[in-house]
Amino acid sequence: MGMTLSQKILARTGGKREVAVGDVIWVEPDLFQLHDLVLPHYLDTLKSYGIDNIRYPERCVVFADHEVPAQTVRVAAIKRQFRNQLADYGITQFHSEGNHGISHQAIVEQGYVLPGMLVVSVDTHVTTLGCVGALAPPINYEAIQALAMGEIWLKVPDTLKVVLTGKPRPGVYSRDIAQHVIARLGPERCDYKVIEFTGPAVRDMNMDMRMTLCNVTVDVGAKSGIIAADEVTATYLRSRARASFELLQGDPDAVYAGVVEIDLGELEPMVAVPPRPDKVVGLSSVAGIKVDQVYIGSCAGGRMEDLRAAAEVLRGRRVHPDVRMIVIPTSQEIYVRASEEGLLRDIAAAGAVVGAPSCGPCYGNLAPLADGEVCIGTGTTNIPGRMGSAQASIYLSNAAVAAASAVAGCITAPDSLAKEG
Amino acid sequence: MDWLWHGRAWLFGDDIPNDEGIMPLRMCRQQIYDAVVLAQACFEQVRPEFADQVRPRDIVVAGRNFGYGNPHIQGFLGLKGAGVGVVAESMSRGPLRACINAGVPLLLHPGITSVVQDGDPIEVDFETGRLTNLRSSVSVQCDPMPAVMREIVAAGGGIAHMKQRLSALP
Repeated sequence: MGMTLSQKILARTGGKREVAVGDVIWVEPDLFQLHDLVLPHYLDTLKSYGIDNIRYPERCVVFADHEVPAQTVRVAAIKRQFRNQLADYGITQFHSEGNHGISHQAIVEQGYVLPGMLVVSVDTHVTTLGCVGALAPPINYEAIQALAMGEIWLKVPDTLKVVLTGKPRPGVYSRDIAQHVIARLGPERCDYKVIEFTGPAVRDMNMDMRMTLCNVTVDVGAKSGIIAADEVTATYLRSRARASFELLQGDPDAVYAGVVEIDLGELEPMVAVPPRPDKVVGLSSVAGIKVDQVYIGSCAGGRMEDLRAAAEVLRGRRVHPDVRMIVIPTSQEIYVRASEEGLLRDIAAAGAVVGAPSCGPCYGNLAPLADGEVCIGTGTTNIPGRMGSAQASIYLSNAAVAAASAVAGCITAPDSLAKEG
Repeated sequence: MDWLWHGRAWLFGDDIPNDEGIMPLRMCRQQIYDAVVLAQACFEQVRPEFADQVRPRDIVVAGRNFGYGNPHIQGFLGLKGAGVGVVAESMSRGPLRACINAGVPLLLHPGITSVVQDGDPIEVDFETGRLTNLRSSVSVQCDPMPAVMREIVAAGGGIAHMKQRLSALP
């Protein structure tokens, strides 16, 4: 019987010819994606167990991402000590301030992640890496053991195939598609499964859009999102890949847990309302809600697609005087490209604050919300307390809607802003 | 390890969260990792008498989505400290991994809460998946625990397993 793409990846990394859905097996990941928020504690923990080596230091890729640059002396001290810890354990692939980005973005840009790889991470939205045809499930505290042993157990997941067809209408972005998909599928259907996106509309999507789609799958409990590598992938990786790769595909006779077809031509801009990212409504039903802060950034939405959309809305307009608007490109590479295109100039000229790449507001340590405040933006999730006070409300939307809301001072569709407003 | 357990069933409904359900969140904030200490706070909010009355090798029989939310290890370490096993209708991926990592034996079986009442004496074979209600004599065949998970639970949890494994590596 044929295997899905995910089965093939798990069979190879588990050293087996084939694996069946439901098998629980030991696998050796190709990469361990790590960041400087938790790795210092994990390495300390290993040390406290008397474990002085990790199995595959050359498979570890580390990014500065949660607090860049350091905002407190405490974090500065951790970062200083961190370099010694990495050296101790023989980890050399560390992308620190200025050569960094949110890890899920930067690890792809920097050509580490290739089609058919298995990557594990201590950070939930690692599912983003499915954009190049890699399988990338998050793990938690077990990362400590996984680093030491170079292996981890995984259950071979069922795959739910999501076939995207049709052409999105103007004003509908990858975030809208992503929010629609997770709301439509729901946690019951996605739990423990891999969501594989395919179909003619996916073939037309660039890497930014593919990242957003795979990113959100974890928010409904999926093990990962994945898009089999194609010509778009090959073109994207041509100047980036650190090794050769094949465009690995699932077998034609592989068995899927289900197939869902979605016509993108039917979608409108979608907004996730508190308290969960899969609680999604059409934009029209939340229009008019007053906002205090607007945020464009995160691993779900600070890429070129988002910055272009925001700049287009903001060009020639001003952010509402009662609104703080924070814009954070997802990586240093995006920051440079957005500045070359003049996007950051347009965004800053409109009165938004442009920050250095980091998880920042989406992790709640930068620009936290006060009790009772309302934020709309492109962060990953809207669970209470995610961006500061648990008494604040977070709405998630595409970047154009977020930017239009910043101008109007309330949740607004971009095309309802007055011309030259 | 002896996989055949006899004990009292502690019945819980659907959607018992990990934080503030299995374990008060204060135990996470205080960074407590001692399983014996954590056992004293197990189910404090939803079943205050549990910690005093539970006996080793009792079985927590829970509904759907047991231990959902952030899979902080404290909740499952608390269960480990109490010496219990778990049979649940369903658990999502994070809590399931945390449960095995804490060294708590686990079976999943939809419908299990309809054949067990709170306080029933039950027999559970985690290796074969057979659960028998010794009061009603009703027997249910659950999926057995996969060998990999039993290997970790038998070692005493993820960290103990890692130490064993590392000493076996070249």
